Amino acid sequence: MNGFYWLASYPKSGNTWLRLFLESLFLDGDTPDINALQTVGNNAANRYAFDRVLDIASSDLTDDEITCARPRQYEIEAREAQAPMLRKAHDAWRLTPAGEPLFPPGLTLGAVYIVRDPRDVAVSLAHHMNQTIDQSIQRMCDPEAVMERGLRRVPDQLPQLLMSWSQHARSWLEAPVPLLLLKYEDLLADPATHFGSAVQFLQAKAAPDKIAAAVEAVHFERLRAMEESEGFAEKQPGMERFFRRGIAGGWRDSLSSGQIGRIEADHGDMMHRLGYLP
Amino acid sequence: MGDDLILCGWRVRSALALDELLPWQGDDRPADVEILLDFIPKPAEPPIFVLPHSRLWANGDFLLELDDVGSFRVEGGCRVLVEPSENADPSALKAFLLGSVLGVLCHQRGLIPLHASAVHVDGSAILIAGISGAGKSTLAAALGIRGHALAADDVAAIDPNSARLLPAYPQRKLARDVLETLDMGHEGLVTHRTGQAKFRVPALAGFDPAPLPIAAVYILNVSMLAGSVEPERFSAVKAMTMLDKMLYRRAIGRKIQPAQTLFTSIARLAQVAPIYSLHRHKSAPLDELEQLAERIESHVRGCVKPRGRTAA
Repeated sequence: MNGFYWLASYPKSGNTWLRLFLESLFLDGDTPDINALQTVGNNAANRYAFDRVLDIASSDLTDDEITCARPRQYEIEAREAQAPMLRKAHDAWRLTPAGEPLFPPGLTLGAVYIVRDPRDVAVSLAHHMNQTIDQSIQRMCDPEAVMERGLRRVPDQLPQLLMSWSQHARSWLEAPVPLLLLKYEDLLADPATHFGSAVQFLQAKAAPDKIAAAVEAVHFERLRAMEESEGFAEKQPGMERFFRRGIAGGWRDSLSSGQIGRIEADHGDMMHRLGYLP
Repeated sequence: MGDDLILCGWRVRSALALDELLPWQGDDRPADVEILLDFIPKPAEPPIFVLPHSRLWANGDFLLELDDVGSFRVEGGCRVLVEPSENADPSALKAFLLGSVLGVLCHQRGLIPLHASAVHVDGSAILIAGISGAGKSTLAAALGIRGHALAADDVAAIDPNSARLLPAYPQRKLARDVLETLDMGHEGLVTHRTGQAKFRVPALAGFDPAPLPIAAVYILNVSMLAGSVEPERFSAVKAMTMLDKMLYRRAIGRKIQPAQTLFTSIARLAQVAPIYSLHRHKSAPLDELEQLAERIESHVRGCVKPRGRTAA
């Protein structure tokens, strides 16, 4: 029996950056092909994986039936895996409608939770979703926010309950699993140290020079240049670019004082807990 | 019996109302498939293969169980027992009867069910295969608007001996945004499952249950990246790999059908019909759908010589 490391985050918090770093590391520091990741696994909510493993059409199931069946999918994958698996996850750590954890603790080797200042998330999310910042702020305080709900079409990811930004963070920080908390801002300020701690947590032995090489290979400007020349498969339709600014504190010139006040009012406790507010 | 129905060319006798199927108009043979509403007995033998929703026994019998919908036992490719759950939505029963159960019936009968939609083009069928959400039904509907009648939606049953498609039943499932783009409206339509974005849309015009030769199979691949706009033909080996990947209810099917039989059936299909990869750009607006449909139409008429047509 093997298990999973969940690479978990609220959207637009550095998850893709971490996965590209790990991909590069597993390629011994080579530049990853951003559109054909080989080693870091799928999204935990990948529809095709669900359909293939459970041999059932998720498009014949209701959202609740899908959520109830996802732990079964992970059990089968864990039984068949030869090595620990990495899965990206945007879902909040939650119970299914049947009352069991969506991400079974018994199959969980650990979770890396990446968090980013919600004021920056609000700006980035607005670009990502092609919506206004006010709509992003609204979404970030919605306890019932669901990603890829599929109200109009069948998305290639299964529906994922995000909850509010604060609830999302709390759900993972308080999940009964080994957890490494990474802050986007720390990854920017000192990538070698903080990506290095992820490497250690994942028990992926790597020499410091390989970590340095991988950090360099996924430097923001290089990812941006790659998107410029080759495109990026994970970019949402209508979105100008995925790798947009890659900075911390960009909210200062992008949010109105009213918007800042709203986010701080909605998420003050969690922002304080994570050091985003004094 | 006057109320029998036709599905994939089989004479079907159903205790469950299936108004999407056409009435049987063939000979007076006994029913090929019987669908009964009944209590499903617990078999004494343990199953040989178990998945969360599915069980398979050594004799090929299959059981599908969904808590709030019901249980379906499929036996010998000819008998289906349906035991609805309490307060089951009859519409939900149909989703599995005409989906998973249909796929398993095909496997039990030695047919090849592909995860594909199919339309008529010049007396043959073209198949559009792909994973869930690839846009199979959508492209088939766009071809429908160009006059190409539906032959199968989502599950395409192929007889490996004749390498012909057995048209299933005249209904497609389309998402709300596709209905709007194609000006089809969704008033009065039933959703596939409660709360879903997909609606069941009748597609009676031109539906013909007679088996069809297969002119081409397109494997639809959705990508965010720009791919070739022209379909690319797979090599023989790759074509077989792709067809195998597109098997409907693949895990169960590979336990029901002997590996050698499946291999031979897929090889025969790959020999008879050219298999192409077709890229669809994910962020392309739906109104480019008509262009894609037009391109497929001219591709199949230009590159592929359907059987029965002589070269000019």
